[in-house]
This record gives sequence, C-alpha cells and structure tokens, in this order.
Amino acid sequence: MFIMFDQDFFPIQGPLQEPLLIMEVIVIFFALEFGILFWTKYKNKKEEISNLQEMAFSCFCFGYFFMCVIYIISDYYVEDSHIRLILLNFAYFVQMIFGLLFIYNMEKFQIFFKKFLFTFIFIVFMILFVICFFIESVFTKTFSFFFSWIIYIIFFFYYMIKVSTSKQIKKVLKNFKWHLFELYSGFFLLNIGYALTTDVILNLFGLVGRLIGAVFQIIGLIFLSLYFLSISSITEYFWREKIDSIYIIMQSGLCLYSKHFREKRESFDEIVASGALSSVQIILESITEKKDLSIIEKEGKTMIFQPGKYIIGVLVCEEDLESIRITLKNFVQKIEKIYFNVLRTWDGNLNVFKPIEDIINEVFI
Amino acid sequence: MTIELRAFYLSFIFISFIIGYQMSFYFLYYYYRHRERKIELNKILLYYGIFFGLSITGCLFDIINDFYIINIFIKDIFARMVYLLVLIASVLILYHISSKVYKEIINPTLTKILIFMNIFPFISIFIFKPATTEFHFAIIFLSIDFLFFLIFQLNLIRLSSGNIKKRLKIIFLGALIIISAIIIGFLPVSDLETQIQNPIIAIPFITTLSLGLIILLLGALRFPVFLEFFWKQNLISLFIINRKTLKKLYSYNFITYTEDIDNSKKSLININESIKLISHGMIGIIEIFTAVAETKDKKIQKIKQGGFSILLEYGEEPISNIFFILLVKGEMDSSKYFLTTIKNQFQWMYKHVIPILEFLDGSSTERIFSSFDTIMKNILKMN
Repeated sequence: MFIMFDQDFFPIQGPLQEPLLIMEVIVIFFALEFGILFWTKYKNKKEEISNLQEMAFSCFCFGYFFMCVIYIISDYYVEDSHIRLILLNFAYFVQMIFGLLFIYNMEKFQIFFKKFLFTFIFIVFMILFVICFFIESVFTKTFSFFFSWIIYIIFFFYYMIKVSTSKQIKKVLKNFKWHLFELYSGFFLLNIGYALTTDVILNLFGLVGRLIGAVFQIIGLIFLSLYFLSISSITEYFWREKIDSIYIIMQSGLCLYSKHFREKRESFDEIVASGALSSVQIILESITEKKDLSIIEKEGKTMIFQPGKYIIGVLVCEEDLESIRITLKNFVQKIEKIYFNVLRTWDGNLNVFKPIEDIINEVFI
Repeated sequence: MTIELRAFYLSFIFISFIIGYQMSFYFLYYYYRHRERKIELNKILLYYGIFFGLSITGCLFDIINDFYIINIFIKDIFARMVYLLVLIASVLILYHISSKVYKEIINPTLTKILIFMNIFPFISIFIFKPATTEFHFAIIFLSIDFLFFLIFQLNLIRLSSGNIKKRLKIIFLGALIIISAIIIGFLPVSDLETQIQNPIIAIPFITTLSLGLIILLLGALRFPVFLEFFWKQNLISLFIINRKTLKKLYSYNFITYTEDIDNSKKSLININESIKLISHGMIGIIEIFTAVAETKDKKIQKIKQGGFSILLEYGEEPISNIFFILLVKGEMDSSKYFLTTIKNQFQWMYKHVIPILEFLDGSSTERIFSSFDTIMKNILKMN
C-alpha cells in the first residue's frame, strides 16, 4: 500500500509544534493575501485581458488558503484518525474546486492542446474522486495525489514550456530570464514544499521536513505571485498570431478601415465585405433585440463583432478567445473615445481615420 | 486542547509584523516611484515608510526579547533597542512635520519643542537599567508624540481632498485601532509573557492589532502622489499648441472650475482670449531664448511674471512638435506634475493622430481634440 499515514505524528505536538504552526499560519496568510491582491486587481481592471490570468491565480491562492486552513485543523487539533481523514479529503476537494477554476480561467485565456482539455480532464477526475470517497475514503488520498496533483503538474509544465519558448514574450518582457526563474523556482518550491508536508514524506523526514516544506511554500508562493504580477502586463502577446483581419465599419455599413494581418486574398472587395458584415450585425441585432457582442464560428475561423455607439469592430481570427474579445472591445472604445465628436457628425472624410492603422499596430501586432 | 495559546499568539504576531513591513515597503516604494517629480509633500510617504519600518522592528525586538532570549546581557541590549527604534521613528516623523510646508496644519515651533523634549527619553534609555521604572519614562514622551501626530493627521485629512483624503482617513482609522489594541493588551498587564497566559487579554489584543494593521495596509496600497494643498485653485488655463502650424489644438479654462476669481486672475483671462498671442508669443520667446542663451538642446520649462508662472512641457516623438502651456498663479510643484500628467494622457490618446494633422481641415481637428475634455475632467479629479 503506497499511502499509510502514521497517526503517531498527529495531532502535532512537541518542541517543533510552535515554529511549525507559525510557519504554516504564514503560508495561509500569504495565500490569502495574494488571493485578495489578485482578486482586487481583477475587479479593478474590468475588461482587460490580463484579468483572466490574475483571476486564475487568485483562485489558485484561495484554494491553497482553504486547503492549508483545513490541514491545520486536522493536523493540530484532531485526534481521531477517521475524522482527520474526512477533513483531509474535504481539503483536497476544496483545493480541486479552486484548482478547476484556476485551470478553467487559464484555458479561457489561451488554448492548451485543445480548448478546455485540462478543464474537462479535471472535472472527470473530480467526479471520480467523489465516487471514490463514497466507496472507500482511504483511497481518495492516493487518488488525489496521483491524479489531481499530477494534472496540475502537467498543466503547469506545459504552461512553463509555452512561456519559455515564446519568442514574443522574450522580446517584450523585461528581465525575461528573471521572470522565468520566478516561475520555475516558484513552481518547484511550492510543489516540493507541499510534498514535504504530506504524510508519506513526514514518515521519512519527520517534522523538520514539514518545517522546511512550509518555508519552501512561502518562497514558492511569493515567486509565483511576482511572476503573475509581471506577466499580466504583456499577456496580449499570447494570442496575437491568431488574428487574421480587422474591419472598422460605420453603423451604416461604410468601411472606415480594414487590415489583413496575413496574406490578402485576391479579388476581394472590401467595400462589399464591410457592407455585408454590417448587415450581419444588423440582422443579429434585430433577431436578438440586443446590441451586444456577436460571434460567428466556423471550423478554424471565428468572426467577432463588437458594436460601439457609432462603429462596429469586426475581427476575423482562428480561435474565439476571451482575451481577443476584450482587446477588440477596448480597441472599439478607444477609437470612439478619440473620434467621439468626429463620428457623431462625420462628413465622409476618410483621411481623419488614417491614424487607426497605427493604433491597430499598437494594439494587435 | 492540543495546542498552546502561545503558538497561535506568536503566529498572529508574526503575521502582524509581515503586514507592518509590507506597509513600510509600500510607502517607500511609492515615494521612490514619484521621487523625480520633486513634490515636497510627497516626502511624507518616505517618513511614513521609515516610521512604520522602525516601529515594527522595535516591536519585533520586543517579541524576540520576551520570548526567545534568556541571556540577561542580551536581554538588556534588546530592551534598549526597542525604545531606541520607536523613539527614532517618532522623532523622524516629528522632524518632517516641523517643515514649513505644514505650517497651515500644525505649529512648527511646537513641533520643534517636542523634538527637543525627546532628548530626555533618549538619555533615560541609556542611563537607566531596563528593570527600573525610570527606564520606561520614555513611554510618556512617546504617548505625547503619538498624540501630536494624530492631531497632525486629523488636520491633514481636513485639508486634503479626493483620493488622498480617503487614504488618510483609512490610515487614521487603522492607527486608532492599533492604539485600542495597545490599550486592550497592555493596560491590564505590563508584559507579554503575562499577557499570553490570559486568553481574555491575548486574543482581543492580537485580533485588534492585526485588524488595525490590515486597515493601515489597505490605506497604504496605491497611495497617490501627495500634491500641495489648494493647488487646483492656482490653475488658470491650459493650451496645447502645434508648433509647426502655430495653431491651438486644445485649450481649457480652469477659472470656471475654481470657485473664487480674484482680480489678478481676471487680467490673465484676457490673455486667454487671445490664443494667437499665446502661441506666437511663446514660440517667439523660445526662439529668442535659444538664440541668445545658445541652448538648442535645452528647453524652456518655466517663465515667471509677477505672481504668475507659465509652465511648459514638450511632446515626445511622434508628437515632438506639440507643446503644452499651463498658466498658473504662484509657483507649485504640483502644477508641474499636473502638466506632465496632461502631456502623458494627450500623448497616449493622440500620438497616432498628430502626424496626419496636415491632411485634416480645421473643423475635423477641432472635433477630434475636443474629446480630450473627458480626460481632462478625470485628471482634475486627482487629489
């Protein structure tokens, strides 16, 4: 049997109890603080792309916080091994829920292998975990170790490889190597630290190992937070290569501006296209009786319509990502902010919209 | 109960220290971030940072002394260090508020007297032994210092406005809660060892202390630039001019914004009416100055005339031919900061529009730049 917890250790007592508890409460404090910090950032920056990663990491920290709180109750207070087992299972389940939210938000921001693949796998394992808990609760610990934790690790590994191999991020992010170090060391320290607190390792190294583990977790959490704080400023570079073309159309159907990020198709009349696109939006609006974001999906291609007060922004891209939608919305808002008075009483002069080219280059390229 | 109160007590104490150090770090960080702006009042952030940093270190020394040090000699040194650090923190903040910029808030002479009085506790902590009552004489002076500082803080809140007022209120509330924690924790018992043996004292003390520090931390987060008091009342008008065409791109009259218009300002309103004079005149002055002073690579930043100042800012590539003129009464660092903020916002919004201005007619240009009104109103909301 792989997992067998030594009940001799619990509830934790002796000379190491005090420093251990202090360090573990500090882990809880940092997890809660970073959770609140990233949640506040997410709330304050409505409609920004970086939000999704910030929200994802906030969920991760909250999950870690709840899990550690339950760990402390079960490891320092509970004498009955059965109650401790139930509490630990509850802690894993809570961490799984927040872990699911973390992975879901990360996948909403960018696609890993296939859209929501990890989210799907995670949900399946969560269901299996619940079933396993009702069949034989002793196995749930092994189950959570082998499956949910390993999915986490695979997901993080894939993410880390994606970040480290991205040429664009390397180009844009200042101190790229240092931030990579934050990500890698944060990830490894947190996982090693967490592993050192598990019952299996506790049987090998005793409470000293757990104390070192708590220190590792604190440093790991700080490093990961620093990484997510820095990466949120350049998150748009993850999806730029997914965009095909953009159209800025007046509500009347007149094309103010269009740009193709890849090779332009021959015999393609943009005037006709913009008229047609505007008609699509009008039809959708009259059907739904709502002036809101519209998305038309076809295999491998997606068209996103973002109506403003005077103009409609249309983006043709490979995937429908939340980050692309937010960028388009911000872009339409920026154009309307700059040209508010021009658009209101537009006299047909297209010269006035020439700067849109540079704004697009700044936002989308 | 399998766990001692002491372990939980110390856990929360150490968390409180972490919060305190974070707060100190935030203040210092925000000060260094805006240091180049050279705004005198902004120095308060530096002193807040040092004050909290030293006070927290003093408290940390006290905890280490009470719970972990057994050696009498080292205990003695630590006890002196506790008072020394808190006294230095207190004197430093008093030194800062004795500056002339706060003369409208608190009497500088009174502050200087208080600084002088702090010499006595400094001497007492070196003369007397920590075991004696005289050694703790410093508490009386520290209490007076803190009370004085609280009055200062209240006056500061009264005179400030906007976001800064909100932040200062939060900090004040946090400080009051911390004082309550100290009263709860130390009025019934004098030392920490006795305190932790009594859960009725220890638990309310530690929770109130943590709460106060969290509130203080919330106040410290995203602390804005501390601009001078009443700086908005000195603003007269703003002009954004295209140097190439000598045409006005945007103008804003602050007189309508400020409530009282005195006669001296009225004379400048007449200048506002003649925008041509402003743009041509300014460019003329710049050209003459550059030729006479042979300073082609340097730019005029400020022109003073009587009780008025004309502040100038220049656009950066690709809008280097745009310059920003701000007419103000008197001389304030905050006005310069305000103009730089306007320049940055204008650049962000129109950097792509400016290069094509020559292709546009006057009416289109006017309509484009009139949208800046919304941004301008937002900038005016600061502090």
